[in-house]
Amino acid sequence: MSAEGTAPEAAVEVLDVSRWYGNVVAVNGISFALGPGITGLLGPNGAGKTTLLNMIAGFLKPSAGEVRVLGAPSFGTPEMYRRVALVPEREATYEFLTGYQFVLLGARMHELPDPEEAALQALRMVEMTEAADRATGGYSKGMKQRIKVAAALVHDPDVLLLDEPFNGMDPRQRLQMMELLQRMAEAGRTVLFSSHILEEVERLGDNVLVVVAGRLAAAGDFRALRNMMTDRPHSYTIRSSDNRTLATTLMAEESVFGIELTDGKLVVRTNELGAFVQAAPRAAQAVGVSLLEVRPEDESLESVFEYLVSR
Amino acid sequence: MIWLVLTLTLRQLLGQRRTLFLAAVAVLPLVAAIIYQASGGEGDAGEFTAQVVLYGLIVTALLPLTAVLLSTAAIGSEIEDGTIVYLLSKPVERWRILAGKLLAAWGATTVIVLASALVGSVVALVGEDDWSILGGFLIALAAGSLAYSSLFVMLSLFTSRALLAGIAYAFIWEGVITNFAPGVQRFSIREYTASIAEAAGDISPWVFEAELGLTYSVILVVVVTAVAAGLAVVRLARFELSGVE
Repeated sequence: MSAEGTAPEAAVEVLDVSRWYGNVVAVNGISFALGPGITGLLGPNGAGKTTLLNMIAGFLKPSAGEVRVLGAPSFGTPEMYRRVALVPEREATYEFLTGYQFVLLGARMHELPDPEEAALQALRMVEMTEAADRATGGYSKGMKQRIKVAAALVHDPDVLLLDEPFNGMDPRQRLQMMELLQRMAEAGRTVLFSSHILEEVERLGDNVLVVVAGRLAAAGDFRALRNMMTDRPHSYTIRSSDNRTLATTLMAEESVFGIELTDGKLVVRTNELGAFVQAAPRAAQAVGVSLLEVRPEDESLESVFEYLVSR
Repeated sequence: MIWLVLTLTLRQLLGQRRTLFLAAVAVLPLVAAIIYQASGGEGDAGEFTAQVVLYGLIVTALLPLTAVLLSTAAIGSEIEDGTIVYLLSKPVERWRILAGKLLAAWGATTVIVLASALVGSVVALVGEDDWSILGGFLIALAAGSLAYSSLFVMLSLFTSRALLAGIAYAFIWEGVITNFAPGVQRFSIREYTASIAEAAGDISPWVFEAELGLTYSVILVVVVTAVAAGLAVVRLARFELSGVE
């Protein structure tokens, strides 16, 4: 994967793409290219992940820029779906169809030579053979996700796009789905999945695209991203038996670059998380101050994303 | 492929509450015929069948109501719940998907309307020999439902308020405005249907008389159907999933 430009072998190319709805900008000047392998599209809810996936899947026309999949513009090219599949985020299926019928419908629409066998094969891949004869309307959320994935895999696509595929799955199903996607990636497929959960992307995506507020905030190897997030400034709220004395001592620590004393608490800013976590109790003990509470202030995923955007 | 979409759509329509509602409404012409017979069947049975059962209840009410409810559900409900993605993410020409949807809407509308017309007329015409009235209306209802279905399927691809727009067209434009503005009957599927019924059924002018000629009406049914279906295909080929996530 490269964050900018296009590699000749790229299956998915997103070239300076924007999409807006009236005055709302959902995706803003994003470029990247993806080749075979698995990529996580990470970002908080409302960041533009679905809009981006829908543009790649040919279900939205970019307001500006170009999206190419397997060398052709994705929008208005139905032929593309012979090699591309989308697992949409929305839960709805044809509720009156059984799981088998739902997957078979896809196989028939693809005009596969042996649609029945292809449907059974896809059901086996997601471990849904046992529930295959039940109407999808009665499925749990996790089962619906898996039957949607089976329907997407039925024609063995080269490019698989999944919008929040792990929603509603229990940990075992999640693991099984992750292994399935990994196998597809190892077999040379291009797999792009979106998620707002850091851990899902961490476990699956060697390559990560981070989208925040419609922009590509970071792209590349997940480990590099992890380091950036660990090294970012953190804020801690501390309550102690003597805040003023503790503040004076902490200010001498190299890992601390700012302290605010307000309302009976200290807000300490650090850019070396590991060093600070060790230094704080030591410093307190040295001046005989008891720590009553040490709490990270901004550990929400949103704050992580905000930091990445502001860099 | 068309057959696949058609059967899928028919199953979708069957499971909807609006279809149950339509089945209940479709009984009304039969109820009217029973009341007519029970009250002694006074007056001309052919005239009653043509003016009250077939035109009054079916052409002006049941036909457009059935067509608008089923046609807007045929594709509109799939757009609403997002399942349309499962049809459109396939390497299938868009006209085939549209054809399946349109044929399902037309087929379901025709079955309900014709069954209602047939049963209501048979009861109203018991012991009479005015059967040509019925034949003309059956042909006309099939033609009218094709034009309505095409129009309403097309509407549901252009607006999420297709049901409202369709009802406004059928019951305000065709039901009210065309009565007060002479000449605009040319833009009314109801008028095409009535005119085809009159000509195809060889009905005496004193029983029933429509405003437009047969050729003119048939041509307009074909034009409305083709133009609406064509616009729908173009729209489907440029279909976008709406809204910000």
